[in-house]
Amino acid sequence: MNTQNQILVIDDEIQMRRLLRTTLESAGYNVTLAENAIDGIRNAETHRYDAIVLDLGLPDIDGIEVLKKIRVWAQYPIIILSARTSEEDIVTGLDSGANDYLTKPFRTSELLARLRSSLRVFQSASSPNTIVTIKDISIDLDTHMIKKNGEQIKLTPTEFALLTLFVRNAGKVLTHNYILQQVWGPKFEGESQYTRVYVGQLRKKLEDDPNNPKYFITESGIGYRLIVEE
Amino acid sequence: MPALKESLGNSISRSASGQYYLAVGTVLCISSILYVFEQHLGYQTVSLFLLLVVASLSLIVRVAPVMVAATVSALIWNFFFIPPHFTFAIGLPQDVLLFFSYFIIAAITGILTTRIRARERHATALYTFTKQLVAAKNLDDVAEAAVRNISLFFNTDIVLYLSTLEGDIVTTPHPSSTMNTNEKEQSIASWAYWNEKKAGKYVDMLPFTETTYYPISGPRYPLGVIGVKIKNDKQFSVNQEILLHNFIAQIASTLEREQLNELTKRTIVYAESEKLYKTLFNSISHELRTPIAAIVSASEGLNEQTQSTARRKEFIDEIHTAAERLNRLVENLLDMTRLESGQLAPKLDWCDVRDVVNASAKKLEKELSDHIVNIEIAENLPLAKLDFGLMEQAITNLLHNASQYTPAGTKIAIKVLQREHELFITIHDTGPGFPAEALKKLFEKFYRVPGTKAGGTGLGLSIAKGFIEAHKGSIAASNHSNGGAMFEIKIPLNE
Repeated sequence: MNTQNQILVIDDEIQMRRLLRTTLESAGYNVTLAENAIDGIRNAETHRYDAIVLDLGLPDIDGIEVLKKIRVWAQYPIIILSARTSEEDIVTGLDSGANDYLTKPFRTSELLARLRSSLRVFQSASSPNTIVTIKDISIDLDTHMIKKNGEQIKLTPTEFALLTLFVRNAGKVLTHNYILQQVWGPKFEGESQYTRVYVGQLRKKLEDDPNNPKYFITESGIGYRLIVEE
Repeated sequence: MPALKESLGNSISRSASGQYYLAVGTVLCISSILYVFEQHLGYQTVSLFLLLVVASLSLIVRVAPVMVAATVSALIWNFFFIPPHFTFAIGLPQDVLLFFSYFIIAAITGILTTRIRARERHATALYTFTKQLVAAKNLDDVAEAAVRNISLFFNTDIVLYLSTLEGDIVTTPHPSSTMNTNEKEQSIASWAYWNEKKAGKYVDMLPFTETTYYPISGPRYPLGVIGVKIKNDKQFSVNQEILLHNFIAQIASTLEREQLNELTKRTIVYAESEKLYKTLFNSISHELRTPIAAIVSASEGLNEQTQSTARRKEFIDEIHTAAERLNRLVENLLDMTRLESGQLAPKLDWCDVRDVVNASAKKLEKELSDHIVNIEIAENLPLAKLDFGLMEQAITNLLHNASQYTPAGTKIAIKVLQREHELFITIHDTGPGFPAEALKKLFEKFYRVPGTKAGGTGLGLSIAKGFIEAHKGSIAASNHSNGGAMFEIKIPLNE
């Protein structure tokens, strides 16, 4: 990290705040803590941050509302934290502009990875690379040339559009509805069988073992994520 | 024949005056016939015939008409048959004796026979009623039989109030009652109930009503109140009162029987829920305490400065394992609560079953690291409408089970295929399998196979079953013919 990124943590549990501060500071971030929604929103309005870690279960204002309020002016990554049983909340959060999510309990390594990839996607969004390499796969977004182990792979236009979406959001979770809107258009909302079928085809063409995917990962009940790291 | 006799008896007994006409008419009729044959019979034989008529009448009509028949026949015999004819004077002294004997015998026969008849009628009614009560299967049956029999036999309207198992009177009449009541009537019924005394009409207590209320006494507290409203407004005779009390005594003992049944059932349910609560409490407090103890002692160990790096790593792993165990417990409890609340509505969406199985296997990567997992999924498997989260949890629980109760190196084979309109998932391990007696109880809440290692709540499989059934599917456990445990899941595929 060349410049220290400023992270705002909004969580009502003191133990979680302490732990997040320790974790993030030891990873080289500057951390500000807020213990409720009002405190968090005020902080976000008055200071400049590079990312926010937001707990959805806040005592004063619903986390989704906080997210929407901040999203109005802030473009930087917002990562939401939530309990396992509220998949719907997570999907709503992601569709309302959150960049990623973590379910409690989460591993610190996972939190750092999500934060890193969100920051990278955000900071490189202005100058996207046209040639992307994921291990043995190389993708040229300009010429539509895709190679795996040097061998050319042929994709249909829809598959290519889907792949482009994944590559541009590498590391970030994409909800079914987001994918459907971006690739097929707004009329296809709710038709998640399209994403399932086409992700299956991408896996067949690009994964080493389509039954045990390493790149195109399913996020239970939420959507997909393209893994590029490690 | 009995039916004919009964219908004849009924039609006659309906009007009181009809009975008198019948009695006097029969006597007159038979007397005229006897008068014709008097020369051949002799007047003493005539008296025997007349006695026969009176005795026969007593089989059909009530006491008063029988008495009239006895008197009329005695007078006729005296006037027309005993010499001198056509006077009430009696010539021979032995005939005076005969005349009075005739009258007394006729009266006694008549009275006794009607009384025996009444008793027989009462006994039959009581017998029929008791038989119905014995056949009653629940409190409602008893109430219905009571109301039906009393209202029919005593020609009354009936209102019946029962008591609750706790000994309070139910303030709304039982639905089988044949009349409506108002608040005033209900308060009289309540009085009769709480004081266990008769109240209402024909009674000193609260007589300003058309109905008489009889408490149904029980061993601990009254079992109810019967309100009786006589339709022809004629107070019961002593015999009828006695019979009604017999009826009520029968009702009381049957109600008591039914209430005891009900109480026993409740006690069993209560005992079961208490057992469940105890099991829950024991297993959960144990399941909570063990990892907490591990966290506490491992973190204390970490605090000691002298520990080597390797030792510190061990402590950290210990804390991690404990935390994961706690998390699994909380998730199981949450899942169980969702199932128990009965509000588990699967959010069905198109899913690739491959994804579901892989997600489960990935979740348990660490637990399954010592096992050889082989996932085999049919190539042309269609997408299925499933709740991803629920199905993933169900399969995770099954795999977790296999990881916990089979030795390291055990093979676990997961197969997914389509069979007609069903999704067919099998999970087969090469472990020791289940003891035969465990197979039936495997999916019961809190059931753990006896002799298995410590740790675990016995909830995992019952949650898996619940989640699969929420998809209208089924799960069965068996021992594979080649050894090892086998789970078969079937889920209907809706095209």
